[in-house]
Amino acid sequence: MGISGTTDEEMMKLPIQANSSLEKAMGAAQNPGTDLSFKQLVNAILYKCKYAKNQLVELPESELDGLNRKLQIASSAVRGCRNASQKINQLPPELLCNIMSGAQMQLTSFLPDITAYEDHGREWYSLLHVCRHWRGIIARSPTLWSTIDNTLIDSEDENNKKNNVVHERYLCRSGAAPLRVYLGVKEMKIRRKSLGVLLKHVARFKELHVVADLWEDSSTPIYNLFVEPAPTLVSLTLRTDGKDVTNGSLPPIFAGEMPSLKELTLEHFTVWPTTYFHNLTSLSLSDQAFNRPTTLSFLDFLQNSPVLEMLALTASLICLACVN
Amino acid sequence: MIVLKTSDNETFNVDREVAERSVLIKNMLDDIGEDSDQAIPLPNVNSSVLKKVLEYCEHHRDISEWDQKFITVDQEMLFEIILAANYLDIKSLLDVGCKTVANMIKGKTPEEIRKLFNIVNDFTPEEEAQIKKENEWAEDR
Repeated sequence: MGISGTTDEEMMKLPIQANSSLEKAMGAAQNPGTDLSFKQLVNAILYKCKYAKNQLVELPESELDGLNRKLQIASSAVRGCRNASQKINQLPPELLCNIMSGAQMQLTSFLPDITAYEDHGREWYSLLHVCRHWRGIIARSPTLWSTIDNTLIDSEDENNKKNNVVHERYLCRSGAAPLRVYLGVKEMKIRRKSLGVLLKHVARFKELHVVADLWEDSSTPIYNLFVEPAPTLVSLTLRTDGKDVTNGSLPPIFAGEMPSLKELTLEHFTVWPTTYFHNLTSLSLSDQAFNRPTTLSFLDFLQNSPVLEMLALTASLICLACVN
Repeated sequence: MIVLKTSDNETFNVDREVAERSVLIKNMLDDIGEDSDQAIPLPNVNSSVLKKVLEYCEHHRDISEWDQKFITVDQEMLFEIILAANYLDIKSLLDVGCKTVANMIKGKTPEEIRKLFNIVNDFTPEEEAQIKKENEWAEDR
């Protein structure tokens, strides 16, 4: 796949403007140069450039630009063939994709070091710029497009056009791959419109990590918009400064349907619907300022979480006044 | 013991349990039956690569140092091992190979990656300009 989603083959057929007499003459000829080897053709061009320069000098600038462009395309094709013979480019696309995936940022699904997420995107810069073959592999590999954040879909800033292209490309190219979604992590301000775009894909959320401090709409907590079921959600992080939390209560989210949820991180929340979160393997609770559960009720919760393996408590739980 | 026959017609006597680390070979053995002493043909793997792959299969433990030492080979052999592991369907070896290449790539600039794998920049200047424009989101970060 080449630039703008074209295939390599299509890239090789980049339209060439036949707007000069010379090009028209070449276009009219029946497959010019088919009787010559590549080497002969290149030698002929070099010979012409050296010994028939006058013909070039007489051409208008636009024609010279056209010729130059064609030569660049031909040169690019030659370099592409050279690249194709290198060992790494002979690996099947799925293996090269696997390697590229391994070279990308990998955060743990539970308690991810979200400060490290700042670097997400840098690896793309390197991989996308190596060669056309790599760019094609990346464009055709949904898993490589499956980590997304609100900066990639914000469409209301000065770069409106650019970001629209980015979010469209991201979500389209992620195909049906499970998504890892980071909101308010790299850019803390989360726009309602961006969230709306993302929530259309909630059915394939695998991880959702939210820092809700700068959610755009202070009248409606962000959690209230998580209304559709999240059948494949495995890991959920809800971090907040607490301003959007009333009495420590987590409102209903994802219609209560999170059957795959194994890992949960909650900040400032102390109570949630009793039918929630019974299949957890990992749980982190922090900053439980209000309405802390009693030890007894928390033990009940643990008893109903038979597969829980990891429990992290920070400034949480056990309200001493409530112990008895 | 079973017999494996490589693309350059060398044969290897291998313990069945070791050979069955390859899902491909395991399936072939299942197909030809327990008692057959027929050599298993492996037309996509040559003897030098198979020797290396079998060394892995015989010694493989979940010890990363061992894996690391094992996979410290020249690039040509590394990619051959990856291809062989893929063909023979030895997931653990494939993972080690792919992770090794991924680690070689990590943190490098496009130019450094090209140099590492003897790749040249095959974009036209026009394409490069368009790619740069498309990827401003990544470059800005």
